[in-house]
Amino acid sequence: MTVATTDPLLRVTDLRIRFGGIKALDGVSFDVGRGETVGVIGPNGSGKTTLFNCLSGIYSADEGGIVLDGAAIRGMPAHEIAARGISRTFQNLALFPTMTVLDNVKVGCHSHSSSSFVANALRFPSMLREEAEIRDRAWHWIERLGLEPVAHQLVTDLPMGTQKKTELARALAAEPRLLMLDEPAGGISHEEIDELEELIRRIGQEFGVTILLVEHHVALVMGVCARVVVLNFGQKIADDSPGRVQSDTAVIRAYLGTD
Amino acid sequence: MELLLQQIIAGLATGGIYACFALAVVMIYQAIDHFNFAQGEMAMFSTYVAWQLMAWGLSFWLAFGLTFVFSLVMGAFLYLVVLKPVQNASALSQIVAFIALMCIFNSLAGTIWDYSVKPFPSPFPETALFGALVTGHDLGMIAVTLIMLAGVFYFFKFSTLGLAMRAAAQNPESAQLCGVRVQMMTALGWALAAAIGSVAGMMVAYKVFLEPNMMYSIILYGFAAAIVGGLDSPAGAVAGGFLLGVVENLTGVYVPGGSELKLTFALLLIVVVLMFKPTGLFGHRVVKRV
Repeated sequence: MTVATTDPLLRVTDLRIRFGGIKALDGVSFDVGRGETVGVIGPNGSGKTTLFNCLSGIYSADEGGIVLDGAAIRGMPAHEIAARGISRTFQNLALFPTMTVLDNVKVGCHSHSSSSFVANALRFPSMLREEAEIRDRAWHWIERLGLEPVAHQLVTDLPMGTQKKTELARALAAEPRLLMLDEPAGGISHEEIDELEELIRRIGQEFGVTILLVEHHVALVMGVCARVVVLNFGQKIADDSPGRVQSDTAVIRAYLGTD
Repeated sequence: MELLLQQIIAGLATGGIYACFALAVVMIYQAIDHFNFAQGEMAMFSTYVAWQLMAWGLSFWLAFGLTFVFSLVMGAFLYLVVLKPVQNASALSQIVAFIALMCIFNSLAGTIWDYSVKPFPSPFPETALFGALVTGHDLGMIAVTLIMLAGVFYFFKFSTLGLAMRAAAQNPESAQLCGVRVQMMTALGWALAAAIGSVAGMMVAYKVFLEPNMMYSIILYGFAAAIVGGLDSPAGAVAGGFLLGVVENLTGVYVPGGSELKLTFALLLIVVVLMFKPTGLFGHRVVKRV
């Protein structure tokens, strides 16, 4: 029931990875179209985070294909995948704690810095220009996410919701083609979730970023995603609109168990 | 009063030595998030290289420059050959690798240049100031330390490269996902730390003379200064170095039997700082989620 897209931004085909005897991903295939916001849900241990780790190059999948915009990226090192336009946030935040919000976001711009590091060290004028560009770009995203008041504070001193937003700004500063969000609603308050929902919608519509979202908070997923992929025991059991997925018997069985 | 002032100034001169090393310690800590116990011996080895170059007839500053470059290469090489293979091993295994390096450099220097004590020249004028407590070399050494501090400070605070290096040390996985080439950053960190260490070695060798064991006590003070000042703060480490020098000197003068207790007091200072401010005087607090 996959939505047919002729030229998807991301195409995952028959992806497999095993850890010892456990098939964490067992032949997962799906497409993400340009500009789409796709949700990935599933019970705990169904392979959602493993999928993200394979896509961003932290794990190297055993078999299958990952094609981003026509280029096969499976097995590439993580920094190269980042340079090709996949950014992500983490379930348990992976910021640089003793850096300021601004510095964290500046690191996010790193995958775009063009000059090699020797050239960077030797050619002073081009280095200065690039530093200015990076600073401008970081500020741009800090402003768009409303982080100006805390820009010069260390992230370790900030509340969870603000830290999550900083991580989001860092991911966006890389100007990704595909933004992967791993449980952005985890550990934040109800009001912050409403704000997050609005923000994810803005990122998709206003900034034109394609989004892949792993989330347990069902209302959030249903609210922002046009399409939802459901995983269970490393296999895809559904791939459809949020409404249809909610009434899918295989999905209900996966979440509630067989009777 | 005049004695106190003189002793403080003399303490600052000694502190310059510790500050120099503390800066190298902070540099490597920023790059790999660990101490490098071989740092002192690496600096000693570089200093021998400078001595050898001068023995072949090169001028001080030419030898200085070549040794700096040699140390950059040596640092990156050591990381790639010795430490990269064990970087995912436990901290204990890494420490063993550091200690092995320390012994290797010590023996290597002894084998190549023998264990006799050698004088090392100073590039600074031979003038005595403040009642002969401070020499031109002391001032020159302090100036060199402060110049290096300014360089390191600028590098980490304002350059994108320094930022990427801090990111790579703090959270390698996350840095990689931001497109930072973590291994390249680590190699560069090793190179810079080795180079800063070599400068420190070339500055202190005039005062403590050149021999394979010259660094044993100095590197201890260097670590101490870095801990007192804060391991993530280059300026703090330098301040810690000067503070240690002054405390040590005042202890020697004002505490009965103090000259024997210099090192004890320096180490006591670490304990006190760690008790009341575990991140060092200028360090940042880090909260880790578990």
